[in-house]
Amino acid sequence: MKLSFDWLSEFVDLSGLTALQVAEKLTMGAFEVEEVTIIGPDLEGPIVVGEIIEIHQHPNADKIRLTKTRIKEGEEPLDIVCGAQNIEVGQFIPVALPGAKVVNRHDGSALLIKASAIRGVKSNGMLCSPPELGIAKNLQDPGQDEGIWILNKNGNKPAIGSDVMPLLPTKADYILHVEPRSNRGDALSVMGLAREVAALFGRPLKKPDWSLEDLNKTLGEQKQSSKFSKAVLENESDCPYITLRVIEGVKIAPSHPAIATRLEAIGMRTVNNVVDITNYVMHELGQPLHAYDATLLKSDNLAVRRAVDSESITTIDGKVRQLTGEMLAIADGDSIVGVAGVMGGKDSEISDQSTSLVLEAACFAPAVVRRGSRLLGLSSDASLRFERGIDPASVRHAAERAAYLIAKYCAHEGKVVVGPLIEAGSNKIEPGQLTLRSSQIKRILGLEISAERIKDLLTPLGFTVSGSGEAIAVSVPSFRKDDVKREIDLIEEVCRLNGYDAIVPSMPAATMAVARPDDSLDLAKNALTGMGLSEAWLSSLVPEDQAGVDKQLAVEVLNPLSKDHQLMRQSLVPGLINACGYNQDRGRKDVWLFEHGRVYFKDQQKDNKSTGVREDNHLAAVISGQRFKTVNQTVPAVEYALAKGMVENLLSALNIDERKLAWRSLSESESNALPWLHPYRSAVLSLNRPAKPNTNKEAGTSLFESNITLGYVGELHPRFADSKGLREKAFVFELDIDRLKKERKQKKFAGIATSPEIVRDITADFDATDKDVSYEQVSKLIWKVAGSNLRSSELVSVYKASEESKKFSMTCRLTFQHASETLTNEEIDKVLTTIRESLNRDLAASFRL
Amino acid sequence: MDAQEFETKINTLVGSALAAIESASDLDSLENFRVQYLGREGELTVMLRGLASLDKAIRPKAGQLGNQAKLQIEQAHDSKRSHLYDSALDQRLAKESIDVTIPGTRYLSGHTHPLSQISNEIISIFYSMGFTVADGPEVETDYYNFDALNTPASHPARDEQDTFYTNIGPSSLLRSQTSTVQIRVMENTKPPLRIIAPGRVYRNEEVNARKYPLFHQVEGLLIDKDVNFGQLKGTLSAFIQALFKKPVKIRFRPDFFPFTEPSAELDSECPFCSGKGCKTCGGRGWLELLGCGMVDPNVLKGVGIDPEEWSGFAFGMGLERLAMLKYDINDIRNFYTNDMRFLEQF
Repeated sequence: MKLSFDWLSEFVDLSGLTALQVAEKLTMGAFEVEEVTIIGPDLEGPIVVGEIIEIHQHPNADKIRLTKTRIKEGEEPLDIVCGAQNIEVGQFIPVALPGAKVVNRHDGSALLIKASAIRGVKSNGMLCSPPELGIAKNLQDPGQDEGIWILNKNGNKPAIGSDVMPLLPTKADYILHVEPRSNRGDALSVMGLAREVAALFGRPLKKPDWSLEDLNKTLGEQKQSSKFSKAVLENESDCPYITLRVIEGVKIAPSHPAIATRLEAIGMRTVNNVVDITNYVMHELGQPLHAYDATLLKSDNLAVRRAVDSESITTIDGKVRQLTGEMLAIADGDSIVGVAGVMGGKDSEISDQSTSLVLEAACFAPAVVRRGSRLLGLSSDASLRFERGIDPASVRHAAERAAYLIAKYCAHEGKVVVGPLIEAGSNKIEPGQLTLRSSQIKRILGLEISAERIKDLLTPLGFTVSGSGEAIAVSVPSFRKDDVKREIDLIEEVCRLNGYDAIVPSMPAATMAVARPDDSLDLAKNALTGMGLSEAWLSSLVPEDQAGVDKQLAVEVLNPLSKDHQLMRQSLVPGLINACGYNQDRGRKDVWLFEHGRVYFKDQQKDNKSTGVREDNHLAAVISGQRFKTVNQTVPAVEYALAKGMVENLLSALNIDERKLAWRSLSESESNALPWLHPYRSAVLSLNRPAKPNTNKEAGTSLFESNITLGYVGELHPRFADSKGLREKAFVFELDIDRLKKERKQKKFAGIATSPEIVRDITADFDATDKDVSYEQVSKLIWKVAGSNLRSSELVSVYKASEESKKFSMTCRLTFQHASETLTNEEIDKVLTTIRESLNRDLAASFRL
Repeated sequence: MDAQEFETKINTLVGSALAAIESASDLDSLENFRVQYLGREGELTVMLRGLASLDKAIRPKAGQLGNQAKLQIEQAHDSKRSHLYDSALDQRLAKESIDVTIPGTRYLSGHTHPLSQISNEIISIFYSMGFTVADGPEVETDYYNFDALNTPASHPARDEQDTFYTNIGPSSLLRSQTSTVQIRVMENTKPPLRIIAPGRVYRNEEVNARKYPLFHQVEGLLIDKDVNFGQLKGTLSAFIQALFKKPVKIRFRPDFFPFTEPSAELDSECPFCSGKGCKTCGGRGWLELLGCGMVDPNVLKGVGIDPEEWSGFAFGMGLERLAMLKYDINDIRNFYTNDMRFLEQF
């Protein structure tokens, strides 16, 4: 909310205070002032009345003339150069003398007057036009804007040398931009903030110097001609209180400058004198008002009731609005003339032809206004205030204030008739009675505050405080009924008014339960950054056409910002590939990125406690381009094996026993679910045990369809890589870190065996036309049958006569070692025979002798 | 052969051997001379082998002379050899000269994301104060995001956080604040409690240099007997000094949050202008760092904790905001674009 310093000074004595001091106090008193701006000219004297004695042509310029202007009787006139065409000898004009500050006509900035030479002729000041004195619109004489302001036009001559500043119709004002607080509807007005400022500075509030009663006395007995007589409330929980008043004999015109200047200062559009007054009073007192053209109302009453579904209204912004039973309407017989608390109707709005009006001031319930405003997508200064709650006890005051101002400023030839107040409902509020315990203040704030001090703090805000000692009785004013309902609310008020700075910092007593956080992620990230990957953070909101999203399981945003942020992601990889493409588009070929983040799936077995969504933590990476930079040396190409090796390193960093895991090719359904993977150069990593029956927590997802699947690694599908504009071959992997964590084992030292190692190579020949065999199968079988002395099995070579050949051989280097004894050749030979027989039997291997 | 004769003969041999060794110009010719004199069939070896046939009387003397000769030649050889080896090596090394200023072979160096770094830093500071890390879902229900946080459906504060709703059900939404984790923890754990909950939150806001539809917060909660506002100030002041690693002027300014009362905003003096007012702080001289307050009794009651027995404070801060301040980053979108030129600066 924009608060005018000048307006504020009408309600609280601000003498000796600057706008910045008030802003600082409000900020530290819970009303943050975001900025303070200056409205109106930043003028400084001396600006005095001068008389033009002589005018000569400028020797060096056609359009500029030289004047001799007297600014003090009996003294020599000054030489002043002037470019305006309307000057004549004998005119009295404002003269800005050196040192004065006026407004630069061209850009509105401040212009400092100096004695200087203009085209070679000395000028000792400036003759001023209205805009140069900050008079944007010359209300008295609009035609004068173009030239110098002539002060003796109407025959009256101001004294030469007298100060012009008091003649200027506008003066500078400071606008405080106050952040509205959602729980403080009472402070959305000049009056409300004046109350705060008065309390914070300990200054008295000023009493207003007007009354409708006095005004009515001056108007005398007048006869009301309108038949309009009633306000009807359907439901007092929607609208506890309403007032209406007929005012006749008004003339619609532009607002009086006193009203218009204030509204313009706070950025409000001026409409006409009546509408402007309703806005004026709303800003002044916080009570929204609405004026209907009385002659356009058909019935003798206005009713506040819920709309019915078929009804509609054209609001004053010209839009047709369909109404529903959730909205509160103002009805004139069968027609709807307003959405209560939100906006009035076009058909009954005040126009230039209006001569009589019905002024409405009411209290609408926050919830129904908020609902209507949301449903219509329409918010207004009125709805902002009603949603935060207004004070029923103050409605009448605002109604009178508006009537007073309308009678004062909108009367048609003095024949205004202010009708009696028409009321419905009740504006009585039982003041809230609370007990504030001294012990609670001490307990919550850690600070003792005396009952006397509490009284001093709360009283200026309208609270009534009595009692002392432990239980202090506090009565809450009606305008604070919505935000002060409990003891804690009073503690906050006391804390705020006493100042947060008064609270001494201390440290909490140490009752702590120490639990070490899981370090899996730190270990994994360290391993990955050590391998040269940098960490990315990607959006979890992805486009509606994101690859690999299973729509059946998708969490979808119903009110997305755009189609690019419509679904919750199910894999980290597409985002990483995009990031890779983004970098390669910018000339960066080597992009190695990883991300740790969540993926989201609709939970198929929803129960009451769950959110209906499963959120898994994944760890994924993309590697594209070279791993290291070197001079004159060829660097081995990044291949599938490197990507897989990274995953293996990662498993090792997490101390996961790889013998509990198994690698295999993609199934057809996995290939479909992971469209970014090369179908024949990708592998799935899973636990080396059968899947468990699906439980709620362990259900598969589109990505990892079985609950033993841990992740995958593979080459990027060329089609996908092309579509993303990748310039280098890329490889990806993605792991379910939640599942991996469960497989970590405690590190334990197994000792270093000193008995001799025996190393044997075994070469097996395979023919894929008989049986498709993978290393994983060979390795698993060797480990299965080799017995307890096998320490390691390492694949040292795979040989194929040609790329197309179906025949291939694998050589594995086996290391045997007994924990304490020396193994004999006979023992090893026996094991090797067993291995050969098993490979032959299970995998159709043959052996050359 | 008498002793005199033997001595002359062996001296002659030593003389020619030493001369030969001295004359050797490289390791190969030296080796030839070694074989010539000291080899299995070398001249000295053969002569010494002949000692057995000498007269018994001169044999000891001759043996002594022979050993001395052998030692003398060997020493000369070894010394020459070491000299030749060193000079050969010196020559070779000189030829191996390279430009040592050529850039080294560099592996891609991995960098953790600045948001990870600041998150870890925040966690470790609170960890040292006895806080433990808690976690909660991002797809939440309006109960945890609003109702349980003392923000009923009609509360205008709901509109201040433009919330994303989902297809999961009418109450399902993307959490707009990590305060949801407070509720989940308090529902399952009895006080005393000290938790810190980092996480992703979502708000339906247009993308610009300051806003992105998702961002990250760290939520903190401490519940104990007799926890007061002074302790909130003490804890967060200590945190800010530790995070910025230098004394930072801060202030606690009253604010409103539905789930804390009293509530405060913690401002730091703007580091860019030292409080004088600049573009970054909008001329205010202060920058908002985090929101905090005493946990509202309604929140405690809602999770079955007696507010007359327990009290506590909560706080929440935006990771992006702190990272932008700490690292002088001027556009929030940098965090999610993942440009290597950005990431590699951290």
